[in-house]
Amino acid sequence: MNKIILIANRETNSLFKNSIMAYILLFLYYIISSFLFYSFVVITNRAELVGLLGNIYVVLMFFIPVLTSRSFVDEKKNNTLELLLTSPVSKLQIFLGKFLSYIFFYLIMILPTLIFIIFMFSFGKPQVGVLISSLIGYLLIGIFFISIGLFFSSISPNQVIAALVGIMFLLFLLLISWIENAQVSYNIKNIIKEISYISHVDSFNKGLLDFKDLLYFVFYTFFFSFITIETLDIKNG
Amino acid sequence: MIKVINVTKEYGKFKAVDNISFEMEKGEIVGFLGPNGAGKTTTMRIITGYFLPTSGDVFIGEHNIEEEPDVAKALIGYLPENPPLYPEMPVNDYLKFVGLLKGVNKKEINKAVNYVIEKTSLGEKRYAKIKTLSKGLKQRVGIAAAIIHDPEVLILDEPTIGLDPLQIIEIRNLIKEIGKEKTILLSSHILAEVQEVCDKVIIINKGRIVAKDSKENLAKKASSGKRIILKIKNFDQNCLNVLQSINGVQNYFYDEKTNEILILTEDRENIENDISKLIIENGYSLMSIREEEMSLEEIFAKYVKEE
Repeated sequence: MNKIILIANRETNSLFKNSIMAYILLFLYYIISSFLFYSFVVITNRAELVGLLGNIYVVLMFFIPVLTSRSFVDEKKNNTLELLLTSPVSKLQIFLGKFLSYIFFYLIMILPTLIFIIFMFSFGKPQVGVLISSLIGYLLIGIFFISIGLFFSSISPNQVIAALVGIMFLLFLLLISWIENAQVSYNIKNIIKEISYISHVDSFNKGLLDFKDLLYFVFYTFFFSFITIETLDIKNG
Repeated sequence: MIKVINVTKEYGKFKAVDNISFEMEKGEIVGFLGPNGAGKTTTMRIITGYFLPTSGDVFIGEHNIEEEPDVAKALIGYLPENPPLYPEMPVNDYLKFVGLLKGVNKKEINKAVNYVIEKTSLGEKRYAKIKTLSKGLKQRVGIAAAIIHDPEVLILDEPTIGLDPLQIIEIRNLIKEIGKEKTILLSSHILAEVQEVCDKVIIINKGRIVAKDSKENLAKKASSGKRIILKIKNFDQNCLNVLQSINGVQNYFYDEKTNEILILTEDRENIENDISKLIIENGYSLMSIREEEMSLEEIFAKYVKEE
């Protein structure tokens, strides 16, 4: 556990100290999410987060792969992956250290949501159940995106490719949900809808805390974490 | 302390390392020599657990690097070919991070950092960011990181590369000092360095060990006889005829510049006496006679060419 925190700590430090990119990302994200909150809650006068959370994943889809792109690419560039892998730490510990650090960053990203919630309680009567379910969805989708971002960073030769391929992959998972409008059999539609994260996020936002949707995020987060750990010591230059 | 048993590493059909075995005792400094691409770095990466071998085993102390990676890796200090550094970190923070990563106690970490900073004379740059350092300084940070947890085994891949002559001497002395108690495997393309620092030499070529022994034994094995160097005051061509008549002399060369004669002879006892006696008997005055060991360059060239 100490080693995981050690690695997470170093990663977080370097995120904030290495460049101002982290601050720019946070700043932009705060502005965008505040704007979404303003348009969906303040203007429409409805005390619910559905409008915000039902759209924010389009923003996260770009922000998270950019954020995580440097994680493993930098370790390879600096040869420090060799340092980590020849130290008495496991691949799992290395991964978890990184993972925790980006989850921590994500928590800072979504921190203003607390202000939104306080605002809603001050001026309206939000449904607590729906609110909690939405927040769980908000957390899960971020963590799921992080696991995908880390995976593409671990297999990419540079940061730009890691970010771009990550974004394209998430875009693909988003776009396949459009199959709903296509003329294909009901079964195929259903299967493809299951693969896309949209329907799963939606049910969280509707306040339906369904085990199936929870499983979707947990399973795929585990899946991408697992293949990242497994490919960590495959040398790809 | 290090045991490498039948280690092979294949990349497809290419064997980067081909059935290598050797052992190193505690307190030994072994030089790892070989032409570029011979498999030195790959072997070192297998010993440190960075690469898994296709077949074979590596033991650090009693511990198999694959089966007990955490115990085995904690015993190793490793300086890779390109030192692994986080450019945005200050030297002090980096060394602290590596120390804790390698298992140094939190209470003792500051002491350990102070110690290695002193040993590698990094005091002035302690709080400088690594990216601002010169290549030689970065190399020293890499060495400091390799010894921060006082490892039993040190694996150094080209440790003095990029250092200036003064630093090279400092680092060599440091290696020698550490080598009194620890086990060190050091690769280098500077043969003089290996000659000066190491007790034993392993020569590797095309993934195979072609020679492993002490420097003296290797020299003996590489040359079939003795190399005797003479300096004669009143040298003339007839002198060479005299030399030729001596039983056991195989070949001789006269170097006009240094006025020295190199004689290659059979490995026969007292051959030096016979030579000096006959030279004097024939009216020449002998200024010096000495036996010369084969240089490491010659040994290296001989072993690598033979393959």
